[in-house]
Amino acid sequence: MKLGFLVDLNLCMGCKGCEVACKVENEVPLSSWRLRVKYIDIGTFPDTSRSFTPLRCNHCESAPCERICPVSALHYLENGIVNVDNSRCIGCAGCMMACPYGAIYMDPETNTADKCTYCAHRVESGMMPACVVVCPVQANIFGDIDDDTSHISQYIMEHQGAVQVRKPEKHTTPKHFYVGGGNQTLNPLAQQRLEGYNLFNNVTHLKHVGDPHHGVIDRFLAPFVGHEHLDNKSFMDFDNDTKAHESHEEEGGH
Amino acid sequence: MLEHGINATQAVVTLDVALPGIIWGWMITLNMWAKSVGTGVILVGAFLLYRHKKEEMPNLRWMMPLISFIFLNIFLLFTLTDLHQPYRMINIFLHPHWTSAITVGAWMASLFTGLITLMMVIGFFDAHPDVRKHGACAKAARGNSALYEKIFPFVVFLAVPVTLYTAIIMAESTARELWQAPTEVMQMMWAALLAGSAGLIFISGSWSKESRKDLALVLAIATFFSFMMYMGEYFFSFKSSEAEATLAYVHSGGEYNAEFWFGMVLGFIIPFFLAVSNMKSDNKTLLRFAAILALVGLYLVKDVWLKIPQMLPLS
Amino acid sequence: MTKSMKNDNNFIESRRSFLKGTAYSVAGATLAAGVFETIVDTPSAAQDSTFTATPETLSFYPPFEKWDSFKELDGNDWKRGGTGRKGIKGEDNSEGIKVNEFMLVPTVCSNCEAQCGLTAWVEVGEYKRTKNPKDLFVKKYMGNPLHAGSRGRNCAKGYAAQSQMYDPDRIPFPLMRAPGSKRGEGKWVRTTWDEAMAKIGKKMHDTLKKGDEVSKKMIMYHVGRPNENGFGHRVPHSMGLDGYDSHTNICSAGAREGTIQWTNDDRNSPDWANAKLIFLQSSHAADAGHYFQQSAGYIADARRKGAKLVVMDPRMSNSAGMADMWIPVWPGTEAALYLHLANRILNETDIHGKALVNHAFFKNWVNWDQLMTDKKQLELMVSKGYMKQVPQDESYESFIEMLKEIYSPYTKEFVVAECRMEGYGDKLDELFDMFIDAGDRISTYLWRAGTIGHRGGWMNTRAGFFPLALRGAMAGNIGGVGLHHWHVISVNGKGDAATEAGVRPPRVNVWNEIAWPPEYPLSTYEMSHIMPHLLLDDEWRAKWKAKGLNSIPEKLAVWIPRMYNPVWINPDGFRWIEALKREDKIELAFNLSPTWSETNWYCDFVLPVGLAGERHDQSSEPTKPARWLSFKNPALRVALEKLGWKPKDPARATLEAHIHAGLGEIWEEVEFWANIMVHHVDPDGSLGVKKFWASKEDPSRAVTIPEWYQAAFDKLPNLRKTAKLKYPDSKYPNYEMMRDMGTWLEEDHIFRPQERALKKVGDKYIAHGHEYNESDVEKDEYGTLLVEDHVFGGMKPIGVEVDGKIVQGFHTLSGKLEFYSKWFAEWKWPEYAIPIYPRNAQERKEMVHLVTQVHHDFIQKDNEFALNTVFRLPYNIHTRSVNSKHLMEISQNHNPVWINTEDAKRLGIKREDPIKVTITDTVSGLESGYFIAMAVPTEGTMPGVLACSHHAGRWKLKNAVEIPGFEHKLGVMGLGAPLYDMTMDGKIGTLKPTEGLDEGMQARRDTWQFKEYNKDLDNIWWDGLSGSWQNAVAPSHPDPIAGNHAWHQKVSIELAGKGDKIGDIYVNYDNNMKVYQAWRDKLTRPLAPGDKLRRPVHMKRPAVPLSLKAYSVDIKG
Repeated sequence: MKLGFLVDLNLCMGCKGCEVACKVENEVPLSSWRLRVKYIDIGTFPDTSRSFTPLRCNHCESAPCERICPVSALHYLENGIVNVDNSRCIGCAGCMMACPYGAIYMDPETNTADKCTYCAHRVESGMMPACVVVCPVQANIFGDIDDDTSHISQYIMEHQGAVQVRKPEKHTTPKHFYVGGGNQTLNPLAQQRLEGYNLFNNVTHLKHVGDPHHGVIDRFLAPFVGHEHLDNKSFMDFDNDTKAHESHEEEGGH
Repeated sequence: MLEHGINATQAVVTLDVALPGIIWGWMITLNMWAKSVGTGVILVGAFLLYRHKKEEMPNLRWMMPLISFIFLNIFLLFTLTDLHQPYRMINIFLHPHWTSAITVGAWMASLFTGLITLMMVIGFFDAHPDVRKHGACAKAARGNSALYEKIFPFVVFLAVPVTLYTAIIMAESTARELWQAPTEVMQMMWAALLAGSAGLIFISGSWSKESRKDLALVLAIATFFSFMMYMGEYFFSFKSSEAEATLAYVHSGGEYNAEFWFGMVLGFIIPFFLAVSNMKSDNKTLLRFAAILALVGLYLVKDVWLKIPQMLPLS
Repeated sequence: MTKSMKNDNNFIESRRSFLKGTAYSVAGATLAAGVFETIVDTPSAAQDSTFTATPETLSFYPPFEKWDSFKELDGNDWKRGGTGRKGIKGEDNSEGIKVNEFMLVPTVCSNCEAQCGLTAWVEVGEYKRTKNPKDLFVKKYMGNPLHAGSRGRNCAKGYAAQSQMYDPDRIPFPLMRAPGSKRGEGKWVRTTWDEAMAKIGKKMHDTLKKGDEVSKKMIMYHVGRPNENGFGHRVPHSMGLDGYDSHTNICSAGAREGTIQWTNDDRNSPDWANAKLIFLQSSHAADAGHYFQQSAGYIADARRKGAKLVVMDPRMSNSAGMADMWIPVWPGTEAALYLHLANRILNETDIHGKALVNHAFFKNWVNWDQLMTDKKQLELMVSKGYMKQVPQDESYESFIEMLKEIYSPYTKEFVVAECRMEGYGDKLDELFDMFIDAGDRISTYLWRAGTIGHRGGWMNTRAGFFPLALRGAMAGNIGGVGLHHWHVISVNGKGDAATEAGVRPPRVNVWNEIAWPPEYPLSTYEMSHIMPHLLLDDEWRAKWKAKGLNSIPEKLAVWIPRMYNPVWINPDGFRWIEALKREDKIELAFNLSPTWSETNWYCDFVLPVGLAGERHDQSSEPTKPARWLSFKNPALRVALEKLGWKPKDPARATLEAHIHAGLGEIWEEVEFWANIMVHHVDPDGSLGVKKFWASKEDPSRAVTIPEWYQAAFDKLPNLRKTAKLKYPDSKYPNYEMMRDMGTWLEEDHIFRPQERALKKVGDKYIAHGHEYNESDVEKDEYGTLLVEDHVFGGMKPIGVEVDGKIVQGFHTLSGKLEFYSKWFAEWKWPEYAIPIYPRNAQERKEMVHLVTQVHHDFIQKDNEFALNTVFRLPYNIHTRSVNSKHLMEISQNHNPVWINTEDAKRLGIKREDPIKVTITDTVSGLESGYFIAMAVPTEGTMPGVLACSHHAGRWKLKNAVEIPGFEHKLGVMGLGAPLYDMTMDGKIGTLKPTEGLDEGMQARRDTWQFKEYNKDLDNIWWDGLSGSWQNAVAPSHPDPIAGNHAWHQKVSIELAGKGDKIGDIYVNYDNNMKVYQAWRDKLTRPLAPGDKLRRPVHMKRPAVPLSLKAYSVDIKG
């Protein structure tokens, strides 16, 4: 089995549903992205057009990240997914230097490398990746590219000639395909990227790789100080307040 | 980013997330620079010992491993510090992944450092017979003095891959088109010889003219070829759009243009001429000066070359 | 998914049998089918399988049977390497990857009007182990595969329901303005629901007790979109008040007005999926807002089948950007283009010489005969120069000839000039060809931008439906345009049977001029956006008093916004603040609001009610030719109850559940209103209000949720039947089925219902649930069946005869589509009673009501522009995005002022330059002030037209508020609103950003709620300044007929000065008051002596049903 992805760019409307679905499903911290949708305006008025390109890990068959990882934190699953083991990752960022698609980030919470896993945990639970489920226009197609009768294989065959991968010259053999893309949408060098388009923030590049709030020294201290135990309960115990504030007998009256 | 284009295909990114900036920064520069010295002094030292009698270079036997030891430790320290999970360095030994140049490098560098330490200890106690006359370990060291010469060839042999593996890491950085294995391998080697000769120059005061001349020769050759290789890449990598886009940062008007040329001039051009002139007429001061410039320049160039490929948006 | 699997029939079988299962469980296989239409290798729901890296099938959702307990690996824990490295967690393996046990509780998104289905994935495994209710956690919201409209799919806003739920700054308990402090000082104390209900209830009680006419207008329930449809109306209704103000008019009155004239329906309802041409005016349907996600899905389905997509919009929206054709036209001139299409359809033939007009439909289903017999109207049309003379006879043929003449001036040349399409006029021909090729399978949804951005925007809809009618696309047929009320079900307010009264409250006898001022008798909804203006306009009140309207309230006793933020989202925000600060004008104000808002800041109480998954509600929208409905559930309450928890007071279960589970003292509207009415507003029943809210089962307490919805859903025969079948021994089968499914498809494939025979049993006709004796039914000369109207007197239509058949017809007075709107002519606007548009500068002066305030006539100077403000960004909610870290992160900085590159070049404006945008009114000539924003040149907006959505630029005046006696501060909109300084002196208001939000957030980490969930907030990389508060600068200027705020503005721009900072605004709101008066007095045609009614009785009059007494009026000269 070889799981692959296909996005039909003719259908994507740039709603970013997949972006948020991914954040929620995988608890991806703010300032990090496993999946993002890039808007690109092409041409001149009045014949301008806009294209939306969802960008996620390609799960390459010869994955540079897997090759360069010194400890096999990045590893293949039997279904072809390139998976991450953040309990083993040493945070050398080699994978970030190796991935030609910028698909890997240094998780600011754990200070370890992470990336899209095609929702491997859902796949293993027999479920589609979150970004596939959410998509309003069914532009995301996911399945077994080893199986010629699978939907994704059929889709690829139907659209022969229009199927592309990003940066094929990098010899990574991606398992993530695009239909309806073009050089203008898939090749970052063909785009005018005015950094600082994060208009009001003047953010050009992310200032940090990994945890921005802990310096080099903290990295050495981390194992000893550790995080305070947190929970998802609100900051107050309402049951205690119930006594004080909830009195169903007293009706107020006039 | 867009180099050339027509209006019909002009594509402007109108909404996207901010991308990471420099991922491998000054720590990695320092790491590469220090390693060049650490292995370089061994390679150059070996060359000198092959060409000259020990007596011409009295302090070489113990100073060479000492310098190497110091810089190798600088190199190791920053390798460790650059990790987001420094303590997990151990995983490289518990869960080695042999396709990774990082793994192979870490193992070899550790072994190399171990052997260098041994040589340093032996070399030091042999050179200072009065220090800790009855100390157990001093005794042991002096007792196994011959070991130094036994392992030296192996150390020299090991110095080569330890010098080169970083080039393979860069080659394995598939995202960085500029870094190609053959060029990077040579760059690393020249850098090691440059740094090595420069390093030894500082302890060559008491040496014979001839040996110092050889140092100057190595420095001259190293600076010359380094410069040539950089020029080759700087001007003639136009075949690959990505490499060319990367070089835009060092070409005129580019963000790193100044730093790059400073490196070239300080690190290679000036030292080259100083070294060549020194081969005619021995001038220790000028040679030391050349060595300092070479080391400073090398740092700048390494820094530029490490950073510019990281400036490109990858997606 | 392996080959062997594929060739295995059992797999196919299992898929079929699943479908059958679903078909049974949700009455219509279409639901589940929709989920995986294109997924040939995927069943819609999981098979029984233990975890494996190579599953045989991948599913979208668990099977319905498993919704109470479904096991899935944890996405966050997986990061430790997955099961391959760590195995699965269990007794034997504590290091393994965590398995979540989910209970899927269906609910409904409330982040836009689409009402897409959601399922709240409540992690119950931990709770089952620990028995600690605070361990219940909504891990994620996903879609609801049973939902016929949304088909298990969602947009960014849907999945953001979770980050809204766990907003670090959500309001944890009821707040009351600190005694002694003024509104807006930001001093708050903690209170309880009971205390708040007692205080508020007493005030309402005392007001009602007066019982005079004015007091029946002094309580105003002001409900934001979406939600509480039907139910919200019942609140004032049950108190005998005309006291409902919705936000509705401000966003859509223009679209409605034109639709009402054609069809007497609220809006159209397209069949996207089967259309051959998707023709969008504005980005609305496919980008954001109305039914976006569902529309986008159906439009994609159509495009897969080869349909073309055309988007007409001055700005290149997302849908325009990916459409087959983008037609940029000058905003507000769309009607000209529509009439051009009509002209060509009427005056041209196809290649076989056959007429392009679909006479079969147009002749039968359009009220042409009414116009042809109305000589007075025809003569008026001649006098206006629409045509040379009154037609010879009254035949259909002469009618068509007349149309040919009337619309012939709308030539290509005219449109190119009027719509400013110089240089790309050929797009018109391209469009026309597509239009004709599509036959009658053209779908559109006329809403937003064009229709409400402008004065006369309503003519957009009026003119827009005309070419569609000519082609037969208005027949409600497959792939065409249907109507709202055919497809929408609203029973939310119909639980009367569960109450002590058992019946609907009676009609109300008063007319509230604050919501329905006499200047706007044809306004489609309340004039809510000028509420503060009217309250503060003594002159206006005096004028109408003199004319005999004696009971216009001078103040409101209680003003109740619900999840509504008019201060920020409405125009002229400073006027709202001014009114709210006047405690003599608004004596008590409380907001039922889950989140902080600019409006809350000026209220007396902020009562936290639930978000999407924290309350009950029923909704239904026209997103496809079917009647589906959605049912909201409070996820934590349902989970707790299903796991055995019981509330102390069944009428307050939602509140108790939320407290029990540690979410906060979060309540919901349904239970709140029932309780406050029964126990506080009318505790002894003396006001006659209590009985409408007290439970029939136990009149001493409020009606409960199961009781209410059991009764409400009982109105739906199919739902009732299935529920009985599925829950045979339940006391509340309807409620329980909807609780478990969250959605229902009452009727599918609804096409051409107007052609259905009028029901007849024996000699009785049955229409709209009433019986009429054949003998009492008369047929007029046009074939319309009329019966006596017992409420308002006169006759009303129940059906129509079309070629010999008695059918249900449309909801109009004639039973047909009304090309000629007779009643509109009678109500003072005869010259606009047919689709028409001024043909030259002279006519634009005479027909000013049809000319947009941003028409290019008004754009004189080099730096003057039309500002296009009415578009939404796909990930933006009107005013609740700031409560979601995920929405904030994806919506940062995407709302500059977009300016065409040529214009920018001309004015020397570069990318990221701050510019000063000054708004000037084109009726009064007054200047409103300016806002500073960032300019970004683009090829995506037309020359002369700027684009800047009015949905960004939230503000706050304090980072956090201290609550005496409570250890933590309460953060205020920390994720998305920077800190501002505000000044206002009664005439001039200013706002200046002083600090980004990051400092504020970091400074008060201890006040973040739901800490584990929010631990990544220290990575906020934006400073939140994502726009300027342009709404406050814009004056409120209502369209003189439809009553919508004409959103677009004429502006002039210049590079910002040294002292100007992006985010700054300066408003002369004294001028803005004069602007509203100018539009009101110069442009409207108010009630006049001789008028007997306030409004045409056939026209929908939201939201409270009124008696003839309320409608009657006698205006003195």
